[in-house]
Amino acid sequence: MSSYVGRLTLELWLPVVLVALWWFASMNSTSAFFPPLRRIVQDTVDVWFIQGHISSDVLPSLTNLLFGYAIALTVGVALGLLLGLMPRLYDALEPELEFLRAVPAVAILPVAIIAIGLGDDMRITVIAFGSFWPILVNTVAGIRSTDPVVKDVATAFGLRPATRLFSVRLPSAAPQILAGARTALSIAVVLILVSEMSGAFRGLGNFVLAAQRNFAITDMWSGMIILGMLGYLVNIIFRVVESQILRWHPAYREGAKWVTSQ
Amino acid sequence: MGDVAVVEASGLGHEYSTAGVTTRILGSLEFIVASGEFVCIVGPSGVGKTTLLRCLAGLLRPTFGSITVDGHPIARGNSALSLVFQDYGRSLLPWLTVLANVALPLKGTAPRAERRDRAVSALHEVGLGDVLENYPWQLSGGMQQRVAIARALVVEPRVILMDEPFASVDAQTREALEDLVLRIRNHGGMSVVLITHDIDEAIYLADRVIVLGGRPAEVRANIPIPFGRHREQLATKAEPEFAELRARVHQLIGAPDDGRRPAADQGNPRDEGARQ
Amino acid sequence: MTSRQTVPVIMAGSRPRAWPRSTRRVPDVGHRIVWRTVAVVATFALWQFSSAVLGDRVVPAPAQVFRALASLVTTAEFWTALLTTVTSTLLGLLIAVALGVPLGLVVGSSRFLTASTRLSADFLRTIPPVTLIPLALLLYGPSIAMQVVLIVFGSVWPLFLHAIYAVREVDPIMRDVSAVFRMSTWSRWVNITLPSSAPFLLTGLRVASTIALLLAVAAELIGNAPGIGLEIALTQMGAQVATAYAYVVVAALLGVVLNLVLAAAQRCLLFWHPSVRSVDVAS
Repeated sequence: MSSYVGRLTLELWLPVVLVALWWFASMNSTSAFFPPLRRIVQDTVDVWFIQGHISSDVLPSLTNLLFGYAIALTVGVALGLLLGLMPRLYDALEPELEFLRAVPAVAILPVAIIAIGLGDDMRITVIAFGSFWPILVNTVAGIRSTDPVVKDVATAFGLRPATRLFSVRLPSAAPQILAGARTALSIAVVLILVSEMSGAFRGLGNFVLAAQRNFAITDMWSGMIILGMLGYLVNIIFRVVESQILRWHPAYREGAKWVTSQ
Repeated sequence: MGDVAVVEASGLGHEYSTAGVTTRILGSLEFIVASGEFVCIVGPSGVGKTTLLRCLAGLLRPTFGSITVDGHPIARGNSALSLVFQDYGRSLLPWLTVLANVALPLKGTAPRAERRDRAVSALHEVGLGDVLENYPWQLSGGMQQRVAIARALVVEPRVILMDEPFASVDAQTREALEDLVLRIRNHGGMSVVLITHDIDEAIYLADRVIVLGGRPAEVRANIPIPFGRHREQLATKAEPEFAELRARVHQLIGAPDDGRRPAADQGNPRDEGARQ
Repeated sequence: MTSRQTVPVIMAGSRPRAWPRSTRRVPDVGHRIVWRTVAVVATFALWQFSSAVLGDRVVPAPAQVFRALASLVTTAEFWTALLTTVTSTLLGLLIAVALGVPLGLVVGSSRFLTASTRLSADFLRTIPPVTLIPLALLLYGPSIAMQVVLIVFGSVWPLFLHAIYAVREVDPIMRDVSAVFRMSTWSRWVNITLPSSAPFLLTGLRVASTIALLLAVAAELIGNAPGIGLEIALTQMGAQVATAYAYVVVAALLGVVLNLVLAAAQRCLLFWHPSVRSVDVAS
């Protein structure tokens, strides 16, 4: 018990000190760019929870994010499975895939705006495109690196193809697929924000950039705080899902190591 | 065999505490290692052999008692001592060549040319004169362990400590390495303290076998081995006395005499020690 | 990235096994060339086809894009933009390495520091880096400084975290080796800690470089910092679809080159690592 409290103290002291430092250092700040933290906090509550920007700006962002990411995940894992199981095909397509994967996803945004317009469809497309590649590539790699012994087991027991796929190949590739999904998620978050920053009338990205352009600095800070918290929340949710899926994996059995999951 | 004591352990004891529970691993050990003597320490798995060796190597501070080398208390990294690790695959640095690995302990103590000469001659000593510029991972297990032995030799130690050095090589390689170590001792005159599970190996190599047993571990027996300096795998092991000694040690350890080599012990003591 | 490194398993009585290579059967070179050519042709056919179906307002034909690219490379603006993007990406990456790696190595070698920084680092790294665009714009305006700040903030985390992990993963036996052979602190860092951290650091660098390029383009696109991203944004205004596509191709090539350079560095620096090294020579 006391060791638990000790650990908690050890982990919490620095964040507490940092926030306190910010709070007191900015207390009497008259700088237009760095308003007092107290005002930022008040403003955050006011803008996001009382005026309801949570539902008008955060929800649409999250919905688009979710749709785009879900598409990338489904298509990425399905195609990854296919290519992973067909090494010849993958080998033939490798140069094209490597090329497309290297596209910095934000670069396609203007193209998507010209082609599709400024609506949510465009945002979902861009997110799906950008987060698709890490998932695809990692799925292929995961499927191909199945331990040969595990494959032999599957063959030796004469497992049906479906069983082999869903009970052997896919789970054994899961750690790598999830690693890809994690990268994809952070790309997706960047893309939703960038897409909202360039030509949208709502959404979190639009809110912070508009606040900056209108010199509503406190609003801008409050938006950044909400964004930071959302980023953290999304990450925690991902981590919970991941640890559920990978219960069997040694890294999780030992008790998750935080740095491992980078 | 000289009679001067090089290593002297008196009242040597060690305990760990984890989560408030204190476990005593080593009781109160008394023993000496004479100059030029080959001592093998045997005991059942988990008895604390590795803990003892880590204390001797200065990697672990014993909780009680003292160890002296040439009358001086042991310090972390004593130049009179050197160590051959059990796990050659992990104790050699893969990014350095064989030669650089062997020369590494001399860094800061000798000029470059001398370091090289000494490393080359240590490698010749272990029969690896022709792979100087290879990397350890390009060599077989037995050869890698020879590199580790050369690295231990290069500092010209008074005592070489060995932690189950042959536990992970095949039987033929093992015999060759055993004979190599005997030859090196006979030639260089240093003392050797070797920890092993393998009773045959201990009797074949040692001038004296120390049997550890009990919890906490105590010295159960100190058995002189009367085969002299020159031994031969087949002849020595065929001596009637060899069989008697083997039976005696077996009994002391309490292991079933079925000729099985006990499984490698990589129990907690070492891990615990590494954290201290 | 799961950057868990597996310690080479030494089986009793055997030579260290060659690293389990990817199990792919590499088709022989002749076949590979044939099939890859087929794939390239098919890709272009598909591209041409979608252009015909969707119209070249949406997907311009390959020929149009290459014509746009060809005229781009004759302009000075293009090369200036490319050079600016490359410079700011590399500059940001360099600063991130200089900050993240030493800090990570120091933090990782102390349990106290690792535990203390865990939450803060975990929180800061999950903040989407583009969040800082408004603040950076406010402070530095649409400039390279703004862009570099953004890149550093985004790419420092993978480097920092990989460095922490790298130090913590140094094999305890290596520490024993350095103690037994009385290596000096300096020699321990140079001969043991840094080389055995290198695989993790290079993995971190690869992750960081992808992020850096992404953020460089994002900062140009949103923050109007000079560079390729800004040029792309301008083509959008002018609705020059083919030129926009041409720039995307250029951005992708930049990513490919960055990847190739780092992969080559990895192969070269980690020649000793089980994932890279060639088969056993002596036996």
